[in-house]
Parts: sequence; structure tokens; C-alpha cells
Amino acid sequence: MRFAVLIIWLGLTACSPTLDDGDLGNVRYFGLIPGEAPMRLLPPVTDRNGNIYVAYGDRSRSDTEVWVGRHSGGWKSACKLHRGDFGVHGFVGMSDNDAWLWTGDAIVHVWGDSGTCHEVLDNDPVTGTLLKWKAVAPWVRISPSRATTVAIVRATAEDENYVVLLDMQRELMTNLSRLTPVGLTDLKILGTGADERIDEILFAVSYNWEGQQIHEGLIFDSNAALKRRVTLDLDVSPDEYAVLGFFQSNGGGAWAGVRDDGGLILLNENSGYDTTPEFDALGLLRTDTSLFVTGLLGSTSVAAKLANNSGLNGAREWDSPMKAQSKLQPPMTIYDERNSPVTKTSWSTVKNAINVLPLISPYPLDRYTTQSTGWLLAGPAYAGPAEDITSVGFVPIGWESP
Amino acid sequence: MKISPMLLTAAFLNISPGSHANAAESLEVTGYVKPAIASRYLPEAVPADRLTFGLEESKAGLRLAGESHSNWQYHIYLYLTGESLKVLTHAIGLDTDNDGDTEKVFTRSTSASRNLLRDAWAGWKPSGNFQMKFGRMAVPFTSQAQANDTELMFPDRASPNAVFLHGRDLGGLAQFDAPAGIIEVQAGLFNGTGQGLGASTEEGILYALRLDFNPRGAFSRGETGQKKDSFKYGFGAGLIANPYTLYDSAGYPATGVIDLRATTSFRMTGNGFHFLTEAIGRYKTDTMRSRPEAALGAFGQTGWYMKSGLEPVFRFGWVVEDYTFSPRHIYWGEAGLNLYVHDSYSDQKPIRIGLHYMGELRFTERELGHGASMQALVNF
Repeated sequence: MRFAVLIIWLGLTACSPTLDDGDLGNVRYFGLIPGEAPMRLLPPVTDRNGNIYVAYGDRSRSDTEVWVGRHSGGWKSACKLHRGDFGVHGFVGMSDNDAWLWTGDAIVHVWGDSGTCHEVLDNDPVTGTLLKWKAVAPWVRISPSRATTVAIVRATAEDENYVVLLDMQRELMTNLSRLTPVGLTDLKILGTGADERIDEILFAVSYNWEGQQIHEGLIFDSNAALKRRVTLDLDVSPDEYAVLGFFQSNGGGAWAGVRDDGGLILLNENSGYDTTPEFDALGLLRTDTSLFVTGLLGSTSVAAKLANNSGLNGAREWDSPMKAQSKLQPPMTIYDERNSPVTKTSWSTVKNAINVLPLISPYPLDRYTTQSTGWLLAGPAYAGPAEDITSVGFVPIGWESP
Repeated sequence: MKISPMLLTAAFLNISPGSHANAAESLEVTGYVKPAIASRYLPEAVPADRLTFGLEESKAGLRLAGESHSNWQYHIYLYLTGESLKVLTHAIGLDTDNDGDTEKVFTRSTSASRNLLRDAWAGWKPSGNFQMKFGRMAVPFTSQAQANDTELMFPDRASPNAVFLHGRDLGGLAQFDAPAGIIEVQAGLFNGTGQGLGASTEEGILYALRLDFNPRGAFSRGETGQKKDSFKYGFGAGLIANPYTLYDSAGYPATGVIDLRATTSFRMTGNGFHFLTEAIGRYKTDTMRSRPEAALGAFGQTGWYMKSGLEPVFRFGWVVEDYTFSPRHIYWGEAGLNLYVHDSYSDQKPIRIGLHYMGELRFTERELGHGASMQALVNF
């Protein structure tokens, strides 16, 4: 039977159109967006059906906006939706044809087919008070029976924090438990992470308890049950949401988060610490077997592998971002999908739209395919009333492991 | 371009010599009723969906078949099933906080039956080993897809089969076999959507080719019961190519898609023993996205009909979907017992009573489901 499967597979994939290392796919021009490159945009994500989701926003702004590119072509500005003081956190999950974005205190459900949005459970159904989603795991566990995530929620009317299992479809909270130790105050969420391979969710928190400032990594499973607490030994007293994007795991018990001050917070199964590497840490890259901290050493893109004991190996050159950057040469052929019918045209200028180089981001890179991810490019711009208005397009980029 | 098989059929009918009735006219009415009690247990589901129980798996079929004219055959298969489709009947926007915006939508839906017409084709058979069919029929892809609904080992076809090809389609099919069914060739053109003209945003033709090699001659695709055939076996392969253009909601072409599917099969039967295994693959790519979609699957099933009328059956299946970007593995394990109740003093078809278990492990999603069903199949 295996032989038959292999023969079928080889025959069908003989003309595979996948992207090689640093190669760019077709550029899909979808909108004109305020800002200059690098822009206030998150790396795009895709659902199983191939719909693309792009979030515009920033950690310090409240003008979050979402675009949806349909798998069959054509884009739509889905919604502008935000609640709370902090800006956009990032996409926390995708399903067959929808995605969820955590922005401020709100969770936004975005439907790929219709290109519309809706805020998930903004009010406590019992008391009617507004809910603040303080921490949301970047993983919506999808199965035929459920679409759930784990979150820390607080009602605006009280100062208690609860860990809940949140049903994203039915908008129900179950498995509710008070965040312990009871009596903690001044809770700060440093960052969140999730690894579905090992069924672990990380909430890195800092709080005051009986006069002591405590930093911890709380590891939950996907049913919101606490698995263990990991003490963090931090030299730098962190701000709320100090970690850019999300924590990511190597699948072997180690986690890494890139801090907004250029440092790293690293955890293993028993302890955690902060450090500043020998290069400018700007992102993370998760492969099937490893996790790399990515960044720049001078003008060279580099990556350093995280060991299971949370030690960081020496940085080595990772040329996929530079290869992709070298392909950004005008004039660039693009598909203008802003309106029907799709037209093929070209951009006279083209730049990387996110961060310093393609593929470098503290947000988890989307698995567009097993060896490519979705990215955004900035095209021609014109002067707007407050700032430049820039053409933005989606492009898949091939990459190889460092 | 789309095929309009009914028009083709009508054209053939018009050019055929003589339209008066003759001695070749015949009509055979057959069918079945299959009441079934089925239950499903999903431990991970919300309490309301955790345990379900009912008669939804019940089916009934009515076949009208015969010859309307020399060399011309017809076949109509009406299919009634408890399978239903949720149809939206009511949608009201709700402004829950009186801010003038719609926050939620209240919906009401009802169940509607589907798949009423399963087959409807006209066939032209100019010689004993060549036939052309036009209408709605099974696409000749996997071996199991071509087995009669009443000749399956389990209540339904293997789940991997449904992942790669589901339902019937409109089209034309040429069938050739020689000598004595050692080689069987089927080639067809279909709409590819299972729907009529203009009912889809896809425009293309589905090309299907199936080859079977049966070294000891042709044998039935029936998977169960007492077979009079001596021990026979066969190898088969199927290929589907479906290039089509996908149109956007405004009606303009958005992207060109190529959808390829391939399968191989081995089957064996004799002395009450039945065995079938098939491997299936799918690879779909388009001109825009650089994101091929691939799926692989396989299943194997075996059953042994004993003189007592008892037939233990087993089946195992596996599928990996979205292999190129986010592999999702699903496994199925099934076991059951069929009991054939014969009336030894008549030639009437036996009644089959089946008791089956089906387990579904969605490995990637970490969910396990269990199902059981009991059916009685009464043919007439």
C-alpha cells in the first residue's frame, strides 16, 4: 500500500510549483495603507482554505484594521475594530475559513468567506460587564467538536483575573479558574505563546504578592489546566506586553520571546531568564524540529538555535531573508486585486513592508506552505494629509532552515 | 465550456433510426429499503453533541432500468436518505446595544433532504463490449465508487474515498472491455462540480480515465455476500484531470486551477472471501498562489462470508489532508458483522442485517470519535 501511495505522490507532484529559498511568488496588490516602509503591518496569516488575513496596526495605536484576501482571488477591507489602551497583539488562530485577531482587550473573529468581523464575547453574559482579554494563547485548537483557546480575562468591574477555556464559535467561557496565587495584585502580562505539538500554552506574567514582585511563566494545557509554574529570573523589570509578537517554543521544552528593548526572555522546563545576545535579536523562526532567534549582525541576517535547556547557540548566517530582499527589484510585476477584474501591472518602486528584512519577525511565520510564508511588500506611495499612503501587496516567500 | 450531457443524449436519440417501440423494450424495477439505527459518541464535544442517536442513516433506493430501443438502455436511480442539508430560512440582524450597528445575527434553519436523484443516464451499446453513457452517474475513479450502494461491505464507502471524490456528476462515459473482461477501460468527460450549468463559479471539464486488469476475467465490484464466482483478482488505476477557471463574484476570471487525482487498487474475491485496497492522491495547484494543495489516502478492507450466512468484516483507512502546508492526519478503524438471512425455499434476495463499529481518530486535532450502527437491508 505504501508503494502505491508513493507512486501516486511522485506522479502528482512532478510539476510542483513550490518556491525555492528566497524566491517570491506572485505579488497580490490589495490596498493603499498609511505609513512608510517598514509599515505598521503584521505578517499575514492564511487559513486552511487559503484565505489570507492582513492586520494593520501597532502596539501603541488603536486603529487596527483587517484585510481579507479570498483564496479564489479578490480582497476586502474586512473591518476596523479595537478596544483598549494597548494596540494590536496579533493573530491568535486560524480555522478552515476564519481567523481570530487579538487587539487591545478584544478578540476579533474574521470570516474569510464573507470578509467580515465580529468581536468575540465582549461582555460577561452573566453580569453584563465589559471583559478585558488580558492574555490570549496564540493557538485556537480546532477539531470537529471544538474551536477553543485559553485566555486570562478580567471584568472591568473587578480586579480578579480568571483563566478560562474560551469557545471561539459559541462564545462561551468554561473551565473557569481564578488566577493564583489568590490575592495577587498589579498583574502584568509579559507575553503569551503556544505550541500545539506538545499541547502547551505559556503565559509569562509579573505580579505583586505579599509585597514581593514575582515573574513567572505559567504553562497550561489546551483545556486550561495548569501544568507547571516556571520562575523567571529577570534582570530588567519588564513592562506589560514587553514581548514583541508571541513567545515560541522549540517543541523540546524551551521557549523564547523577543523583548521590545532588544533583549530575549528564554525559558526551559524549570527556569527562565533574560539575556541580550551578541546580535540584534529581531525575530523568531520555528522549523519542524528547532527554534531559532533571528536578527541582524551588522547587515547580515543571522539565526541562533535555542537548545532544550534554553541556552542560545552561536549565531550563524541565514541567507533566506537577504536572498528575498535581493529579489525586490523594480519594476515588479504585480496583480492588482483591489477590484474586479484582476489586472496585471507593475510597480516602479518596491520595498520590504515589515521589519528590517523579509522573513524576520517576532510573530510566528505563517505556514503558507511547509517551506514558504506569506509576507508584505510596499510599492509606490503618495503624500497623504498626515503621512504617506503606500501601496501594499501580499507575496509568498520561500525559505530554508538556517 | 461545460458539457450538457442531456443535450448530447437527446442528439443521439434523434439520430437513431426508427423511433417506434419494438420487442426490445423492457423495464426492470428494483430497489431497497435500509432502515438503520446509528449512534455517535464524541467525548470532546459539548454535552448536547456528545452522544447522538437516531435513524438518520436510513436509506431507500428505487431503480428503474431497461432497454427503450435496440442498443439503447436507460437507468434511473432515486435515492432517499436521512442525510439532510441545513437550509437557512430566516436571518435577522440584532442590535444588542442599541448603537445602530448589527452585532449579532439571529438565524433559523430547517433540514432539507438532498441527493434525491443519484443516477439518471441513457446508454448506447452498439456491441457486446462497448457502451457509451450520458447523464448523471458515478465518475469512474476509484473501484469502490463504482460498486452498487447495496453491495458495500460496510454501510457506506470508505471515508478516504469520500475525501477525494464525493457524489455523482454529469457527463459522458465510454466503456470498453475485452476479452472476457480481462481488460476494462473507461474514459469520460464530466462537469467536475456535480452541479448543472451555471450553478458554480468554476468552469472546466473533468477528464476521467480508469483501467482495470483482471487476469482471470471480469468479476463483480460487489464487496459482500456469497458470490458464485471462482477465485478472481484484479488491479486497477484511475486518473482524473480537472483544469478549470475560477471566476470571482463579479464574474471575471480570477485564477486557473489544475486539479489532479490518481488512484490504484487491488481487489480479490472468491469462495466468500472479499478484499479491496486502494491508494488515492490529490494535487491541486493554480496560476496565482504558489500554494499547491495535496492530500493522500489509502484504505484496505476484508470480509469473509461463511456458510452460516455470517460475514465478519474489517476496514482500516488513513488520509492526510493539506500535506503541503499543514498536514492533518485522520485514521479510521471499522469492524462489523453482516448476517444474511436466506429463505432456502425461494430465489428471493437475502435480507442483510449488519452491526458495525466505526472509530475515527483525528490524530492532528487530537479527537477521537466512535460510531455504531445496525441496519437491515431489504432488497426487492
